Amino acid sequence: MTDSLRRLNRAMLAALALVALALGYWGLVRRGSLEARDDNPRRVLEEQRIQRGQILDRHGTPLTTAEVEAESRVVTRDYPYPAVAPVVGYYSLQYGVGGIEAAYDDLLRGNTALTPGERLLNQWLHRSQAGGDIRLTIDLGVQQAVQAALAGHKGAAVVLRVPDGEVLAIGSQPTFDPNTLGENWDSLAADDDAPLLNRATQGLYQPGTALQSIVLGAALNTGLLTPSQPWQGDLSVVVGGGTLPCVGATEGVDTIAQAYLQACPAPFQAIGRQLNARRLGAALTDFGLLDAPAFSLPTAAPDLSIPPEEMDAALTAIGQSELTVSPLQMAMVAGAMANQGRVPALRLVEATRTPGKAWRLETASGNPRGTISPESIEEVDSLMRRAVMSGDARGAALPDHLVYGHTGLALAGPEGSLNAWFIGFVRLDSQRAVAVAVLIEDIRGPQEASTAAEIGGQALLAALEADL
Amino acid sequence: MQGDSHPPAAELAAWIEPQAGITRRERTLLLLAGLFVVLNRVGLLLARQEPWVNLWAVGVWCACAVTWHLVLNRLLPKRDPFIMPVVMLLAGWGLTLVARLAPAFATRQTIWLVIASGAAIFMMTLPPRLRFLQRFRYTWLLAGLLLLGATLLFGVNPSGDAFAPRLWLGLRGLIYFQPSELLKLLLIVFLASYLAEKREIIVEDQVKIGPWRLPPLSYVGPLLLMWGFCMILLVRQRDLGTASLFFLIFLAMLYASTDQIGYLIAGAVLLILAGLVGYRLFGVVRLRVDTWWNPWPEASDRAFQIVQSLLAIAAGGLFGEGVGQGAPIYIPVVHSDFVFAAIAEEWGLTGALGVIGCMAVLVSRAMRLALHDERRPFHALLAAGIGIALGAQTWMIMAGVTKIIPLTGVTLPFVSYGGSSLLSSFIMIGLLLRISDPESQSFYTRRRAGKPIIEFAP
Repeated sequence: MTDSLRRLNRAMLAALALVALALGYWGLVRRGSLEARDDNPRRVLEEQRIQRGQILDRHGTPLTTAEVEAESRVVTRDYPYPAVAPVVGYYSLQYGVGGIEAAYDDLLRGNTALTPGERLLNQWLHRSQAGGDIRLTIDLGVQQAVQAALAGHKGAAVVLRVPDGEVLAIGSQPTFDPNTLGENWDSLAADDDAPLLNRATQGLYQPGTALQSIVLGAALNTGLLTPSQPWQGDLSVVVGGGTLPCVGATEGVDTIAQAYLQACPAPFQAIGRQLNARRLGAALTDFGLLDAPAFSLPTAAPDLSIPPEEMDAALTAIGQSELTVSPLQMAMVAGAMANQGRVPALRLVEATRTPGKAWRLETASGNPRGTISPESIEEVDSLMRRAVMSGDARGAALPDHLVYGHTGLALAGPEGSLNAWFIGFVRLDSQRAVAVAVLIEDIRGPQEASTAAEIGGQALLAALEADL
Repeated sequence: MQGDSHPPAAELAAWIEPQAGITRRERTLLLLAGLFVVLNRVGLLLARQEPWVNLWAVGVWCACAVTWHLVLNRLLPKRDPFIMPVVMLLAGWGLTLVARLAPAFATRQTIWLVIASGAAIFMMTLPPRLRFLQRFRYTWLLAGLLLLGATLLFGVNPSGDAFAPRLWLGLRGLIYFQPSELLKLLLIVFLASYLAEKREIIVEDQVKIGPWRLPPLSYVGPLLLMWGFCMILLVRQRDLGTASLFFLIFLAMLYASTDQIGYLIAGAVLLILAGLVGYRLFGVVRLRVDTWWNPWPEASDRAFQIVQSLLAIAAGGLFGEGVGQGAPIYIPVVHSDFVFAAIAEEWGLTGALGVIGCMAVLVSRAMRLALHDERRPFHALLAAGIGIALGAQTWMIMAGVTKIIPLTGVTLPFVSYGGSSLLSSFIMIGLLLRISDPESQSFYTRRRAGKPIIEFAP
């Protein structure tokens, strides 16, 4: 019996030692590959425990909230104001990030805030990773007003302040609710109206007669014409299969100024030819329409097959050439009109702070840029004022405020459907102004272009009422 | 049998002068165990932000440990001083793990610890020769078989799942008992008793058929019969893990008593054959074998459990995530079958090696007792059987969790959640301690002799 007992004892100890070896294999040798597996729930948990930083509006109102479950330390991120979705975007474990949540993901997650030592300490003590906060230049009130005004349309709007270029609102409709993204993702992604697309920054549209302010300004700047120069001839233009009409009434349109006030395209084709493609291209470049604007959110630029100097000047001057623009770019044009021709450098993120540190101001994206002379701009501005008083942009008029504005139409697509534009501004004081650009897709006819002007007026009113 | 009668004077001396060295050693080890258990429970409390009142379970643990230690000092002054502290360490660790992994069961497990400690302490009072166990071996085994058979008729599953194996007997949902755990103990008693008596005949009266030497059927027959009953019942109940464990215990004890390696070889062949048949017949065997052989393609469905177990071990690394800090909850039924993976995650390789070490100490202490008791074959075989049962069960679940062998649904003794397992393991430990001190008279003998039952040393 002695031998068998000894052998059994030894066998059992050896078997236990084998378990120890297996543990060493899984826990040390294979550790890296097992921890990196996609189906390791610990990775998800770690992600869910990250305390993402807050996103605040310019007055410090939180646009995101976090709820931490005590035991699992899982953080649920909510968005109390779905109206800010076009700016703030979304954060979803399953579907990733969008908007500012994507652009500042590293900061919000806290990836950038830690030294390797701190990271190790956090890991050792199982502290949740905490991210930094972001204060936007967005004004929640203006943003909500813009989204409400756009509701029911397909379109976008951008409100910004000059000369500092602070973006007060970025509207885009149809939109989505980031709180219910997970449940609705499939229908959102499949929707033909692309609610997940930020039309304001990434939508590219024919500018149409919304370009008239630039074309007129460039022509005045070169001394080719005066606004009072008479015009005899066609007013609307046939482009491809469709007709690009005036926005306003065509009776009594007999000068260039009148054509501008009613946004009639034909006279501007003539001006475009006179200016020629080179000078027109230079003006468009100066106003920043040929490059994607430097911005905190992703922006789009047209992929032109030929340089603007070689484009058909007549078509380009009425915004029906290859050149497409985003509402954000048109807001910069509106800003330049309100700012003696200087295109502002955009700011969307006012300041950031890493956990436990003070706010640090962010610089503007890009540099401000001069375009045409302040005198020429002033002449265009006076016409924009008249357009709101008695021209195509009457919808933007506000009691007690001097609103400047201009409406344009653009032929979009082969079916001859029309998009409506409005650019405008209102002065806050001698230095500062608020500028807006509005785009509405697929309007039913020229008379509906006033919708864009009305939405622009509401956006400007909201900005005037805001505490800026 | 001889060697268990002692001169009264020597016995009295042993009683009056408690074995100071043994007491001190056991006390020191127990203090270390207590330190570990309290620190871990407080750590868990802080990590999970539990109310302080939850520490009552540690208080109960301390009370059990101290009571057991004092009773041992009085009744078994010459016992093995390593066994009890190691067992209490594992049981205390188990309480913390249940509080960590299945807080709803923590109270129930604490009550089971009290019951199990009480049963172990009761074992201390038995007469040193344990003759009643040896003599009524058929009675014990039949009682165990009847209880197990009762699960065929009245069996329930505490989870209420209609398709889960019904291995438990329930008392109005208050308490559940798994008769197979008791049967395991009684089978060891039966085998020890039978083999102690018959082993020499089994070895000597071998029948020679050609090159084969077969054991005499008349003596091995009853053995096989009783064992066969157990196996049929267990297989009928789909409790294949326990069935395999019984088979291992049976083989090892047969080998231990006869020294014939042929039994082990024959057993291994039979086990492989049974495995092949089981693979064909039982879906659960197929599942376990398939997911053991290559779990990775099915990591999200059939092999989810074993893959999660390995991920938990990997998450633990060398020193672990810390008590209450990991995520072992992702492993299904982590609190019973996969408690070892949870230890590896939260205490790391270090903690898991600690558990392995503790079990190694228990197993080798039991085998050492068996070796030292060769003149009392029943006691030797009983000790060996207990050591084999604990070692085999521990290894089966540890090796299953670490993908050395296919998974078998047995508990990790002392640590896993489960009252019946805790109770039967504690009774085994009680018997081991009783065997380890054959010189001390029983409580009852002393009372009859008019000797003081409790006296306090100056």
